[in-house]
Amino acid sequence: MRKTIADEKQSGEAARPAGTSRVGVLAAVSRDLYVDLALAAALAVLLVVFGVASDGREFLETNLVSILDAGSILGVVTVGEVVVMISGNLDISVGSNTGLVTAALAVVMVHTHANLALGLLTAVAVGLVAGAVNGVAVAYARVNSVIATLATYSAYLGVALLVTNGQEIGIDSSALGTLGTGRLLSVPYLVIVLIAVTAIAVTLMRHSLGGHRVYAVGGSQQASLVAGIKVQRYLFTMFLLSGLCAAIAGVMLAGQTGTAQPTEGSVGLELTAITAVLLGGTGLNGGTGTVFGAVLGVLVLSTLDNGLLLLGVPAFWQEVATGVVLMIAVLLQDISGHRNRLRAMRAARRRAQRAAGATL
Amino acid sequence: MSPDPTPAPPRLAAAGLAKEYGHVVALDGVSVEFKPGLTGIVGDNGAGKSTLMRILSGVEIADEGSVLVDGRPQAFGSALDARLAGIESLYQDLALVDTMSVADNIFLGREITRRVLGVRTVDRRRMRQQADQVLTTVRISMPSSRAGVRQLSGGQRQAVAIARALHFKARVLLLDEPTAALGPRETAAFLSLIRHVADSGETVVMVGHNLPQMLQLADHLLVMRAGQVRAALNPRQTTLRDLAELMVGSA
Repeated sequence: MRKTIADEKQSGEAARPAGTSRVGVLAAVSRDLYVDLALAAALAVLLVVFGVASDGREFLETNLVSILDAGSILGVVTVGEVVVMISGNLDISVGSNTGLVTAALAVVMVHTHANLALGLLTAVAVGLVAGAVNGVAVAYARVNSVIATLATYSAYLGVALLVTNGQEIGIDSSALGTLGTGRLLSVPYLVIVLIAVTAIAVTLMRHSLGGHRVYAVGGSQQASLVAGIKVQRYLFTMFLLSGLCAAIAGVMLAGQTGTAQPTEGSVGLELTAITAVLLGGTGLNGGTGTVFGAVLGVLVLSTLDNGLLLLGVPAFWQEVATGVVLMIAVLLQDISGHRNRLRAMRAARRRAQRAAGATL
Repeated sequence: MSPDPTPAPPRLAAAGLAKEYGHVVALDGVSVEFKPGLTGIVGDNGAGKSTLMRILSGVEIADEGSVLVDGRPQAFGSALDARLAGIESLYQDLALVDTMSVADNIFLGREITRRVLGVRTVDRRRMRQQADQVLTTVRISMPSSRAGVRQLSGGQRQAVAIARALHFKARVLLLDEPTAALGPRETAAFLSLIRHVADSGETVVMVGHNLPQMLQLADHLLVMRAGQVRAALNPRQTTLRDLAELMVGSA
């Protein structure tokens, strides 16, 4: 068995899947594939279960789209979160950043007689500046990212409350409203935005030199530094991208609700986003995971929410279900990691025994 | 030994290197030229071997003196500077990214790219092909250039680092006790690889504790004691006893 795998090596691309984990070939990549397939399977099972449990046709027609719709804002935030996490950090401020963007957008629009261009410009600028503050703190001032973004989480929320006086502000813009609730060929614009953001992020992280190096930096800052990679610049840029995603999500949120509420719809997004990222196979240590997996994680979460709601399960139980799903998913993902650790431990023990034998 | 007749300056040399840590003199005026082939450095603990290696590899900066590459003095501020000058070091922790593949690690920081729609993309296929090529010259069995570094044994990990140096045609290879963490079989395989690299005309500098091994393996031997190079020897004309006496200073 082993021989044949080694022989197939020459045939390159074609010889990939069966038995590869045994020799450790493509370990990282095949793990990503395994996670994606497992999530897709879970998604399919959820859809079937909910479809059968409720009235099948109706479920598929109305809910499939609303699952995507409900998940689109979370999805965009999650894309920002996952690139930060792949680089080995955490961004807890994405939710309040989203709320801050929405608030800033509304305030500017109110004061400029609904000047959409100026509003959008402000939204992007605010999101980027908020991301840059995180990036400077983590990449250049070397503050632990959990601490830095916990601080800005609170600060951004505060600023959002300040600029809105804690009040709900109506946004009078038909264009924004169309973005938030309109559809193109029965596909909501919000879903189109999510698909576009995901496609760009997946492509860049998979294929671009920058994306490749984000994985390197997340895997080992030390090795990346010695290899001449500008580690700080990459860490900073990921927070900037997270800020950009928060800006896009903030605009989407403003369009969806037609109002700017500094907290409603944005506070708590960060934890759900982190949950989705972890579901999608990205670890907390950096260097592993995929954007696609994280977005699949979002779909699983919003399907779960939507389905349970449809079945009349009380909202409290939905929270419990989210927790249970995360726990199961991480345990399943860790089986392979656990095996690797066991193998490494055994190898280390053998080495130690050999070394002891050699000195005797 | 007869002096080298070629006029070309050595790829790597040290001129009057000195380093103190507080009141401890770690290096006390070390001047040495490293010839092509394998130069072994031996010495007791605290003789200054590792300090010398750390300065040559740019990790530490000397208080006095300079490192010369091809006769030109260098001002290394970091390990990266040394690497850019063609001095590749095998660190104890090997500076590999565990979460990436063998090929990705060989090309870390020097990836093969091509432009697609104006974006620099990583050409993984070509990196794998070239990695496979250089791995066959390394002659240490490796599952595949696609394997994750995390799965490799200590010897295989070192082979990855050597492959990286060879592929990018490093001028000098620095090894600080490279076999310390290896089992006997891996040590043998690794030493034959180093011998192979040295035979192909590379300049290899290696610190080691195992004196019989160094006598057998090296082309040139330097004995260090108390921060100085006390002897430059031809291993063919040196006995284990000579070496031991030079190291402890009773000769």
